[in-house]
Amino acid sequence: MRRISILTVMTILVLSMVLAACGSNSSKDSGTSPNSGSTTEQPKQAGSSGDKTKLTVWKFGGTPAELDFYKQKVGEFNSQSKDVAVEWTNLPFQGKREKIIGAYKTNSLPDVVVLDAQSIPDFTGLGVIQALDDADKASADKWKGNFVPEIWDAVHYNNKLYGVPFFADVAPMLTLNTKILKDAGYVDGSGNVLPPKNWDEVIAYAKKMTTSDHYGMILPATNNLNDINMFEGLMYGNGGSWLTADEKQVGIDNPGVLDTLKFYKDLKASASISPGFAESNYLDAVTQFLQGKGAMILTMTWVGAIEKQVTKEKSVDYVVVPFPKRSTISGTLPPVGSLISPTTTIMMTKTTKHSKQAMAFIDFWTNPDNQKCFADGTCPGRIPALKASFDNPAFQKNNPEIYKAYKDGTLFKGAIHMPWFTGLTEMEPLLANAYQSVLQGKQSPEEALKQLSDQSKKVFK
Amino acid sequence: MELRTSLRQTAAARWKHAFTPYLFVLPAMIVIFAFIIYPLIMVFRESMLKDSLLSAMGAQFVGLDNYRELLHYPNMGTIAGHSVIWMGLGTGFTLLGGLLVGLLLSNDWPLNRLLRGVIMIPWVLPVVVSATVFRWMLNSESGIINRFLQVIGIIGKGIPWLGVPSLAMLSVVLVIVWRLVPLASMIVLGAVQAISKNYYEAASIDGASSWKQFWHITLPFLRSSLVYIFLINLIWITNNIVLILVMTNGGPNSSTETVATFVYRLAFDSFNFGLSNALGVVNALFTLLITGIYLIVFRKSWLVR
Repeated sequence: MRRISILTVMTILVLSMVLAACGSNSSKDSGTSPNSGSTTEQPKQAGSSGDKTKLTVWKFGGTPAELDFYKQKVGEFNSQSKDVAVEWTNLPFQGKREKIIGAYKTNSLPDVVVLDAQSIPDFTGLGVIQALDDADKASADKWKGNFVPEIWDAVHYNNKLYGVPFFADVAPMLTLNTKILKDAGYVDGSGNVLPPKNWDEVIAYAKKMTTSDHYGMILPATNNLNDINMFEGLMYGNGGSWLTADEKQVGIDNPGVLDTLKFYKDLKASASISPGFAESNYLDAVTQFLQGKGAMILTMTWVGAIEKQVTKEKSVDYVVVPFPKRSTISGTLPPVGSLISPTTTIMMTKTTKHSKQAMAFIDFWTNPDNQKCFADGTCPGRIPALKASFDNPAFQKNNPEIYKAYKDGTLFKGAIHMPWFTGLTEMEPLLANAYQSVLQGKQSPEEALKQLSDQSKKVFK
Repeated sequence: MELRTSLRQTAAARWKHAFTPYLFVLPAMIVIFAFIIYPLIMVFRESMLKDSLLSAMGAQFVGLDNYRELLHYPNMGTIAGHSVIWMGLGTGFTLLGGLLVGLLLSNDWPLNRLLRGVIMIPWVLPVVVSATVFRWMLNSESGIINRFLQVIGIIGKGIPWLGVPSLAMLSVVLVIVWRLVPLASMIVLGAVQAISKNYYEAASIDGASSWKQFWHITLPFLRSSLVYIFLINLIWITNNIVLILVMTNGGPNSSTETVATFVYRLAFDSFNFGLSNALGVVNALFTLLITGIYLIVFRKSWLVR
């Protein structure tokens, strides 16, 4: 009897472990599978693919309009190319790391990947991608002059070119509801809206424009990467940084970062920001803005991409301008103009056996005609990577403020790529905790920054 | 000679008798070893390696260093605390909810025939769909739940259910309970329907109240089902990451970050597979410990008598 009991207990315990293992897998499979929602474009000439080299491409993320454009262009490439047949697969952005690491571990990486440039250091360190100028320096040199230099620099790591960018998202920006600003009297002599000039003015504007119908400011402050990137944009713009100038130690304990936390605190104290700052991520927050629920919103440049994706009817009239800086820069490092993230960059994997064909496919995307989606308004809200795209009259008409800033030389003045170093992905959620603690009044900016600094030092090696 | 042959035949028969059952279970054992035992061994082995994919050194054996590192990792104590709340509230509410709904469905009410089918919808929906829909529904600006509470006058301004640390955990717990109660209630329903009506008739004749009938007849018969519901939900909830990642991504202020979501982050955000596996082993052992305690405490409910 006793023996049976012990045996039964052991059996149930083992079964529990078995179930635990199964439970873990089923949870992951049901939701975070990188394949969920994926679509694959097979080359049309499947019958003749025996004559052609098959090139597999994984594209992570993208709006429906952009994915439609890529599909059309891949079709054109396949019909033009005599020796390459591209098999293009669209995959969710969120699952990129699992998908790529899984493929890396099982030696089944595709030939080409299209993802954000912020992944370059990690995937270079991992040995997933290879430098394009190592593979074909002549092509790399040929492309260089066609691209906006700051965006081109943002796809370089350790002085090597790792991808060709399609466009860039820039942070931080301030998106203004023109009607609300005009009604509040923030308008110049020509009838154009007058954006705030510094952080104090942002708070004053927000306070004045808060009514029972809308908030003065929508501040996306979740732990979503876009929201973190926007805070990073503000702190780098105020002379703060994650690291010290020599990039060898954590340097977040910087007055520039402290004052950025204080700016968030003051915005909250002005009772002009929406209470959902920690629940509505960038996409939700921009959607709320487009529905007229805020006079201003902290954004990146890709507001138009969301507008096209989520609103069927005409949304509010708005204008996107660079987020103003603090009246006096308080950080110890030179302030950066803005942070650039080429979120769609085409790269070649290190394991490809078809590097020549992969380079031919990458070269295809350097033709302005094959990136015109970002210039002619078909794929709105993106800052094109090719200089030629800015010459497109449709782009100039649809993005007058961006075009003006580009022509004035202010759009990318002092811009650098988004922060990237080993350990950053662990440290960024800690930054989100810091600004959320401050916004929720759980910690003072000083306490939050000290905790962030201490925790970051444990992570950064 | 005959004796020797007979002895040999007896020995062969004994061996055959002893080994034949093992031959029948051998295929299952091979499958279990290949897909469960071996991966578990590999997880344990990896947990003792310094295996960061970004390290040029490759994987190095470090013994229990990863486990020691976990003790000093930022916020690890807080994350473990969240896991206990998530697991405890989720499993407890699912058990109670499943029992209550299962008992209600066991009544012969006409509407119950329809409800028995409809109630499974939350269980059938993919987790990611449920999580996304609830994230919208709970939004302070545009969520239907806040709008409803405003219309009936309970609240003035919308409440950011997923944006306030004290409410976020409760919100995700309620959603996982909403999702898991249907299956629990079906198990309870099946167990209740298997109880012979004779017991209740005899108890009624003896003048037992409904409560006494439930306490002395229904509940004892349900005990083994409740043990099963507890165990299976404990394991599901402990290891569920999708719901949390989609609804809150572990925020705000890491208030919904659990051990399971952190295992995922260590592996795929930090590429630190050694540490991730060590935390996974700790998580499994903790689940096993709770399971063991529960089985021992409620051994009368499930032991073979």
